[in-house]
Amino acid sequence: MKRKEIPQFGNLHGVKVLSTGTNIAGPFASTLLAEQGADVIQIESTLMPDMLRRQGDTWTVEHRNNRTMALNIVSEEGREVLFKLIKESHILIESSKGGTWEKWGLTDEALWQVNPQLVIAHVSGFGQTGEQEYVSRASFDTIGQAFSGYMAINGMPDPAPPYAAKPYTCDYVTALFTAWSITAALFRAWNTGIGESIDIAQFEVMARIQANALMDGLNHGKQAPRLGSYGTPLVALANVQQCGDGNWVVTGFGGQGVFKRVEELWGLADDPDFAEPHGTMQKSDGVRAEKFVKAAQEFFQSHRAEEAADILNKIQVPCSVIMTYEMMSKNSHYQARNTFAEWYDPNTGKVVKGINTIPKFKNNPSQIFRGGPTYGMDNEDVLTELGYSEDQVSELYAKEIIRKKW
Amino acid sequence: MVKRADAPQRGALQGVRVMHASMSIAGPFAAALMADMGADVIWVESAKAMDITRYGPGMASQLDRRNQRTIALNIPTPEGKEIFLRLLGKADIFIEASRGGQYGKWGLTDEVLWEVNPRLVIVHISGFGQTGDRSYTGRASYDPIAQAFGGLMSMNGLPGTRPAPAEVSIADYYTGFLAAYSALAAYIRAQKTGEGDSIDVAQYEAILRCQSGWPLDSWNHTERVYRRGMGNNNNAGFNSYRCGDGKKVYIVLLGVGVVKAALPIFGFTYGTDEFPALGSYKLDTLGGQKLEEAIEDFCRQRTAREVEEILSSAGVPCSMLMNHEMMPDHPHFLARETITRWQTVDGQSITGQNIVPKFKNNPGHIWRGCPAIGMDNEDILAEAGFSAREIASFYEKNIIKKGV
Repeated sequence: MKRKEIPQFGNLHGVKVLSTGTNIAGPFASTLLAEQGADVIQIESTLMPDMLRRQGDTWTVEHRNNRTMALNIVSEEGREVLFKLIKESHILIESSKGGTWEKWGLTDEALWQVNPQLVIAHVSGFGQTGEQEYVSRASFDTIGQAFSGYMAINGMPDPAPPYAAKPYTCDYVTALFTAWSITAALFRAWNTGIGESIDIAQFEVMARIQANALMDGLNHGKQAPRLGSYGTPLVALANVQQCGDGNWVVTGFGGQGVFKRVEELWGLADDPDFAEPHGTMQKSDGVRAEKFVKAAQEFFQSHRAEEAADILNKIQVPCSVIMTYEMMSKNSHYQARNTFAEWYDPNTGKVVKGINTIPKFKNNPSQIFRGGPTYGMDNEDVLTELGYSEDQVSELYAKEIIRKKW
Repeated sequence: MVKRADAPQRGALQGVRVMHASMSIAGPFAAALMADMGADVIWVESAKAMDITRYGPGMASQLDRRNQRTIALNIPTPEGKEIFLRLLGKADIFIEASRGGQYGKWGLTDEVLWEVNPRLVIVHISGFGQTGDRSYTGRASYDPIAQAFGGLMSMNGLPGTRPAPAEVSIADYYTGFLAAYSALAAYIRAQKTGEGDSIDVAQYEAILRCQSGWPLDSWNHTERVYRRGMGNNNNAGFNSYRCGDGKKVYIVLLGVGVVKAALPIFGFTYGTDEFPALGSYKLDTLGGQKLEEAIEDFCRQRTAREVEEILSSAGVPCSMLMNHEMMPDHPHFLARETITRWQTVDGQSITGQNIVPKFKNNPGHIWRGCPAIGMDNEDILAEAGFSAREIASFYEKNIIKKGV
């Protein structure tokens, strides 16, 4: 696909992004930009296609709106191509072990010599600086979850083991941090003419989003317990309840108004144990808590999950069915918002159904113009745009500097 | 307490003016990301109801309200709307979080806001979105509600147990990231075109967007996604393991290079019938089963620290399961200053997460802790052109508020 064939839409039309990472942590950031109209070229290794290609339909959603090249960037000719691409890019996202690009001689300074305005995002497990022994370590989603302390607070309460949140929570948080921070840096680079280099470490972004759990740990020496399906360690009723039809709901019981309304619903309002105003229901509330838990369980067991959620929402009590993919595809709200979309997947030659672009922009909406491209699909178009002749392209194939078939 | 001119000019977003009227985590986190990068952030707190993070649980407000100025304002009153619109006239980005359609009900539609400021980027954060099925858009939402409605919760938890939300408030954070990123994308364009945008961020959609190909596998191939527990895809060596000292490590044997490096450590050879040249081995194969047992033995015979060092130095992804107590003295956390200290507005020194990620040329900066309620009312209103007498009358009518 040629650059001029990319439809013009979105707030980021005209922004050129080069992405060399694999899996989700780096590339998902560039795809978010592509959904807002940025021109994204995803470079894959000539030694091996991205392992995400083997994960079911993941590739077609996490690389939609991308163009793709399979290029050996550490070869001499490959580096020449890389530099030409960098020269005309606004943003470069790479993901590898800390210091890998520096080892290849591709320091930030070397890249800025080619393009002083370039915004560079280095995505890694442990960062570009720090203890060398850690910087060079390999990482995946779960390693980031473990080293950041995130896994220790996930899972059912002790003595159950810690738990890795699904799917790929650390990878997504890393990518979201990357998308946000490259956009901030792009704004500054356009205003000053000076580029930026951003060091995004999986473990640090996961430490950043631990809210009060980490703050309390650091300042008061309190290790946050694993709560599993309980809202807090003190609360009497688990947030998650099974209903009469075997499906599950989650509730958000909190605040005086919520308790008053739900206690009226369950016929507890006239019971003297419930007379005193209360905004919580703790284990320590004794008889009141016992009665409340019993009434709750009776209510949920005598209703289907969807009924229970509708009844509670009508009286402004937060509650949702714990949706499965099957329920989602039939739900009226999902349908009314067009939360799902269909697009063409060049890998399978079929139209696939998946999540639409998120969030929704009123004036410059996102678009999906194609699914994740096949391996090396746009080699010729991208190289032609850089000024390579047909003969030169053939030579690059012959030397396996670029690749198409696997 | 802090005039706009007094706030330090640093970071990639210096000069960008942001206002947010939001509570809890999702909206404030988006604004906090911008404040960490030097944007001038005004937090419009309700003059009627205190932000729940101010009274618990824990210290989240100290983290996600730092670097902000605040005004405590009762927006849906005639005077409150006048103040609100005058402030928006000088803002670049406005973030609000409430039930879908709330601002429209107050007469503060996007179009009314754009009359005051056509370049304004408006971000609406809600549980279920601004449009859709009316029986949903007005619903209250908290993080677990979004995790449930967005399909995430049914995948989390151990098989056979209750589904559980991913902690801490991951739907709120995903939402906050998408809000911050989208607001900036629209702001970049508004600078060029002079026209703002309005962005509808629904928590449940944010959580659904970040589920990889799993929903697609279900909708296109009716492949059931179930609670898989600790492991992943039923691969050997992709799980948490208990070590001899009772501590745990998480190991990920994935990818050709990793598997090649790992097999000899556990006494196996790569490229054999049992362990063909692949990047992972399923647990239900003979080799996969043997490998899993060997890893369990290996871990049992060593401390977690030893296992982590042996595997990491061979290039095999492995980490101890860190908890908050292990972090402050950890050499890598120290070397990167992942944890830092700053002053609260009442002069206490507190410890918390440093700004991430690290920018080489325009690093972020913490210049203030979480402001007290209405602490900057006077400075912000004076900047918007209100006189001292007007400000006094706003206090009298409870349009603005200060203190607890």
